[in-house]
Amino acid sequence: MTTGTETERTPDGGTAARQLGDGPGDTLPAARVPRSAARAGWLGVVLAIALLGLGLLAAHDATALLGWVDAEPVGTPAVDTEVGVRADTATTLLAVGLALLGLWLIWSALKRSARRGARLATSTGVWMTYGDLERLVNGTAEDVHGVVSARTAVSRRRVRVSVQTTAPEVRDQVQQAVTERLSALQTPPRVTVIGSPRHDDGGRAR
Amino acid sequence: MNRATSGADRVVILLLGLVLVAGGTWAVIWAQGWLPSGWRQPEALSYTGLPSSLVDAPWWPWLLLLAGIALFVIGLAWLLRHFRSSAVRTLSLPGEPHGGNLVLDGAALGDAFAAALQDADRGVVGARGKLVDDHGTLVLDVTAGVRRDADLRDVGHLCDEIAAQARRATGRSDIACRIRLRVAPRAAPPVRVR
Repeated sequence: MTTGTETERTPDGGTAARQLGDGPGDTLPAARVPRSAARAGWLGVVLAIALLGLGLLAAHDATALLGWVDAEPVGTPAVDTEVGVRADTATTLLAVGLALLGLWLIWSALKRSARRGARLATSTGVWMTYGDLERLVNGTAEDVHGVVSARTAVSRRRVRVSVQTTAPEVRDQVQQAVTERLSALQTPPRVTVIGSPRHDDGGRAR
Repeated sequence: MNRATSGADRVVILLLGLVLVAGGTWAVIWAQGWLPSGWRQPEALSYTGLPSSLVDAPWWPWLLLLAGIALFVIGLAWLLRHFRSSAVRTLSLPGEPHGGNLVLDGAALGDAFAAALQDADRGVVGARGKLVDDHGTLVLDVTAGVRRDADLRDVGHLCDEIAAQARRATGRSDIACRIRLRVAPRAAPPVRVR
């Protein structure tokens, strides 16, 4: 899997080709950042439970019919009842609903769930969830002198920080601090800082 | 949950979806009277119950019992596979001392990695690790809590160093490594991952 020559990122940020497999500096190869649980996963659980329930029902009715237990078969109506639908509007609506449900199931089966976070620029696999990155960025912003409060939203490609500051120039300092902090990521996202000064709104500044 | 289970989930859900889309589409076309001439055009769709030759047969309860047991077993197996632990208990190491096998406890490898991270005292406040089978790949899965002001590059280098040690110690290059760094929330004591 990792034998042979690979081009890797070195700790100082450059790239170097090196032989993997026997050098003392070789580290464990990176596993990929995990994906969040697929919708197909919990749908599978629901279907498995449904199958299990159906099995229990059938076994119960079979034992009731055989006289092993003193109970009425629950599924008798399903065996006897006659139901039918005519070609009318209600049937059309029902059919449209079923087809849409089918489309949703197909989409759920084929959809790949999103990765849960971002990788750091390391040789082995170090990663953080977007939620943890939010906390980190928020902390970085709040540690900048002149920031009253900060709110952060992190996605795969961009980070948006809204800060309340005591002076207009603080915004640039926040931008710089956050960009520097996130430069440890393998693919640093674009950082947007929105500053709303609290210094000129009638003495509410702290 | 392994690859086979998630594959089974997707295939079953895909088939169910295709059946619903096909049936639903046909029913819409039928209900609106858009079926091409020459196609069978039933007055109504009806279900008239199971034929009495079937349900009154002496073997019907037995068939129902067998089918019930089969459905129950398949459903239970399918359900349990979703919750199966992916932990790898032992890892065989290269080398054959005196013809025997060298094995390493998977949990011990994870614990040692976590302890090394924590003991380095470079912003990591707690860690735990385990060896898991992730879709057919051996993965050393570590979660480490870091202080909010920790130097990420420094922690990253530390992870690289310890992973290199783990690789030298095990002599296995097919183990992948995944270290999640968690950030302690503000105004709360540092994350203790233990």
